[in-house]
Amino acid sequence: MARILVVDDEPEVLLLLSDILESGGYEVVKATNGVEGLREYQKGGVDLIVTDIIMPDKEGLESIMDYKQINPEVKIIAISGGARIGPHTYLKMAEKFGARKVFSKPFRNKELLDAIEELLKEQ
Amino acid sequence: MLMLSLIQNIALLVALAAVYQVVAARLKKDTLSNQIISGVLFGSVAIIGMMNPLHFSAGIIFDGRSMILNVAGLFGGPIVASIGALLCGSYRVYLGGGGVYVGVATIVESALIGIVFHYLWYVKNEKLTFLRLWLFGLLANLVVVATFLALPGGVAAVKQIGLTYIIFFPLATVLLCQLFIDYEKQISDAEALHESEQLYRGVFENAAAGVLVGDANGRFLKVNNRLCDMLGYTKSELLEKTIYDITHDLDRDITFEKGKRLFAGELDSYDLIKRYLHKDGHVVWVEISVSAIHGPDGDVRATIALVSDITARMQAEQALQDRERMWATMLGNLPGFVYRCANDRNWTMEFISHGCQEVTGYSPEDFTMNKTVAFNDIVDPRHRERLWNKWQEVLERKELFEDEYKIIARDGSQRWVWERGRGIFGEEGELLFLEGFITDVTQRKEMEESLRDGQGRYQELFEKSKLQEELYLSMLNCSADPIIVYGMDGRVRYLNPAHTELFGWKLEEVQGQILNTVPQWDMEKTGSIIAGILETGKTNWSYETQRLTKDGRLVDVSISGARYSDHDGKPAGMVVILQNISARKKAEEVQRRLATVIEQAAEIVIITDLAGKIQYVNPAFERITGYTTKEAIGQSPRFLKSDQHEPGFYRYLWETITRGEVWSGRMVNRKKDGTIFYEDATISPVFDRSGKITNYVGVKRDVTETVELTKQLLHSQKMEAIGTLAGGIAHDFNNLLQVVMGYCEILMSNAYKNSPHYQDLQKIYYAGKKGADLVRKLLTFSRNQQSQMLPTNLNHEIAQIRDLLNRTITKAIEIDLKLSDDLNLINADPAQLAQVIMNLALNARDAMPDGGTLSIETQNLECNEEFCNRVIDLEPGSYVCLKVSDTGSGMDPSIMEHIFEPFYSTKEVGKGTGLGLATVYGIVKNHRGHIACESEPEKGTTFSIYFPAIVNH
Repeated sequence: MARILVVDDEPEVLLLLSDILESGGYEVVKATNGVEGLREYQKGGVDLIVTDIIMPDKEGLESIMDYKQINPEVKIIAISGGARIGPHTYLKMAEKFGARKVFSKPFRNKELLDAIEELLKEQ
Repeated sequence: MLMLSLIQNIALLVALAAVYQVVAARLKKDTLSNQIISGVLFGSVAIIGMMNPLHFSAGIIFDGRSMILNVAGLFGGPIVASIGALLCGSYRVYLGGGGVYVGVATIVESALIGIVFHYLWYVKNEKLTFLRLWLFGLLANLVVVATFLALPGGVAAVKQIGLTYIIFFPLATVLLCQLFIDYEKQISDAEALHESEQLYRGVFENAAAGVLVGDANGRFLKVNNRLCDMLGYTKSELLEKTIYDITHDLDRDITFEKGKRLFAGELDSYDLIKRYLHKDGHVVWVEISVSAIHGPDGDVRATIALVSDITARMQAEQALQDRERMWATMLGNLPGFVYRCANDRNWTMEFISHGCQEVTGYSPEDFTMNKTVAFNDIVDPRHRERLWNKWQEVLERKELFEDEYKIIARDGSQRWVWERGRGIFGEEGELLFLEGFITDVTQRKEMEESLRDGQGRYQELFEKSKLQEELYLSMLNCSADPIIVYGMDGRVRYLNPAHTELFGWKLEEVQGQILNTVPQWDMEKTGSIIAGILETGKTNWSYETQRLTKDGRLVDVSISGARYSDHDGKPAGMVVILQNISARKKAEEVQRRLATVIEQAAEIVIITDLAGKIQYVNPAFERITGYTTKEAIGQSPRFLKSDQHEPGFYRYLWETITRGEVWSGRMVNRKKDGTIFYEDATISPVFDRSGKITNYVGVKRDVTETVELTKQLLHSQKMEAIGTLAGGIAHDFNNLLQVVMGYCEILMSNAYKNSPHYQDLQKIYYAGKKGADLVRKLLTFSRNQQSQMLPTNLNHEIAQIRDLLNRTITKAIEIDLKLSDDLNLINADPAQLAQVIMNLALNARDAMPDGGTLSIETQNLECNEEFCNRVIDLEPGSYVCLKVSDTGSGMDPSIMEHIFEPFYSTKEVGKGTGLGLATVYGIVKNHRGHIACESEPEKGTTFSIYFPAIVNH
């Protein structure tokens, strides 16, 4: 059973995502910020990371760089409710930083599950 | 008997001679013809005498012929006597007889004797006395009687008539000659009288003096031209007047009295100086000499007067008298005396005025020619040598002498005198005498001495006398203006401390020197000014120029001054005041510069009077407002009013400046062409020295551009802020929607499709989706949405949504496309471009509910720097311009300010999201473009969008 790390600062969103993923048959590790997420990832056994970009303490983009440093092959899906500043969304940046898929909130449950399934199929 | 007839003959001849005189009276003796006639007459008289002779015997006759020829010879000379003798001789020959030879002989003898005595006496003008004439007659007749002896019976004849000849004939000759003498005298007297009468008339008429002849009543009988000239009357006018008419009132009595006495015989003549009155009324002083004219009986018939005009002389005398009196008065009043003396050790006095008596106790007579005392004797012996030496020095240099010394008066008292005098020199420079004035200064001297003695008794008086001098000196010394005094020789006599301070020279270093302060270029003008002032003495003048200081600097000065005179009233030099006007000149320069600054300033400067009427505007005013100075002067600045201010605005402004405070603020005014402009104004009262407000001055900077730019900046900042806000909200919103929709999806996947819950979940889900759309729009506005920028042709995008527009927009609205050919490409997201066009088109539609025209226009546009300076987010360069216009209701400015803000809508609630134009704005910004809106209520609205063009170079 694949293990997925979900990081989001909004508790309701975190809960929703874990519900969706659990209903899809995955094991979910939850983190409410980038620091916590990194700690969980370092524990090992995480096959895929779903992370919000805009978060307090440690931004999603920074986290992506950290995950990449630990494991360059890490599979990351970045999600965002939108950007507060800047001409380009962070999602585009996240892609450049190494996120394999990006979703703009609100997205459909199935979209996320499909993307995860697709990524996990890769060996 | 014989004797009696002879006497008878003589009487006849005498009578005939008298007749001759009557005839000859008209003749003058000198001419030959007259002498011939005269000779014939004498001959005729003799012949008539011969016709009535004394017949002595046959052929022998005696008569008076010899006597006639004697007289003819004596008075008439050889020609007359010869002719007379020839006639007589011829007649005697004609008578014939025995006595013919003797007869002719006596004729010749008588004529010759007459001729001889003519030359002896008559020609020489010898006086023909009775005795001489008798001797002449006796001699002639003795010769005749002697000749008779040659007659036949001559002795008897001589005895008979000889005595008669000798006694009576000489007497008859005397008588006849006397008749001639008297007659000739009468003739010459008459001639002399005629001549003198001519002379008299000439003298009378042409006399240099006036002459008049008057009668007892004073009436003029005769007047001459000179008198007429003197009195201004014509002769005929004067002859109708009396002497009293033309006599001055004051002299009438004496004239009357003198005239009366003259006519009464008490006076024969008199002289008088009196006044006549000229016809024009002025007084003519005359000196007249009046004499009586006596009639034959000795009584006074008339007066003759010689009148000389002495008016000029009288005036001169009057002036002389006045001057003499003046001198006398002056000398009498002088507290001293004048003198003229020789330059000798005695100071021998030629003249000394009476004042010397009072000063010295001696009279002028005492001093004159050292009669009683020499002036040197009364000089204090201690002062004599000094006095002498000083005088000699002064004379050597031909200067004025002035000194004080002691004299001893007649009463023995010692007195101080002050003397001022000078030498009088002759034409060749030789000293003639000394002249001067001496006065008693004992009192002053004593005062001075007592002052020196510290007694202080006269201190006050002395100070008083010094006061004036000190006053003048202190005036000069205290004067803030430089003052310099020059002598006639142009040398410095005095200069005051202010002069030293400004020009550098000290009095002691330049006194008596020529001081040149005039710069070369001003020499000529200065010279002519000085000459003018010295000549005319004018005082009311001033001259602005520059003068040199000691160290060669130029100082701006205003020069004024005056001539001053010495004691004789002769010009002695000039007092010159040189007012330093450097500060004023500098101030003027500053003022000039200020004026230039104001004229050239970019800011508007308006000066008004107290009532607010414009008195001055600068060129910037004309440039900015479009009104000319002429149009502005006299107006109130309110004529620029834009009506965009509250009435209280102006009231407050006016209250502020009339209180004397400065008002500053922004004003919105209207130009001549109607456009609005903004100015940052500072309006200040202008005070005079007394602190009274005299004017108001407004300095205003045109800030229209700044205001516009600021507006744009503020707007863009506002939009930026709204965008940020919207972005923030969108993020949170999306998270919330994610939760809502996510769970909704989970619930739906678990529920049965036909369950009523599923329907409800679907409603929730779609509401969430709508919300998500809304948020996306917001994000578009905040430029955070992803866009796909491609080189895009705007015209193609418009063409593509043309069908969509046709379907969306009612037929009442005409769609007018004006698309430029070869439009430049732009870097754009085609989908977003479509969104922009649609949004603007739909807005236009909503603005035209009753129909109209929607025009969409594209064109290439070069934006220059000037244009871009007015738009905050536009850089110079090539742009593609999209214009979307409607002919609809338009907007007023207050609405226009907010149209790009999210959720701002003028549409009814529910009819629009309020995000349309905000989205457009976001898209345009996202494309680094610029959007502008122009709108006028009831006319329509135009949106202009500038996209940066892709230009291939």
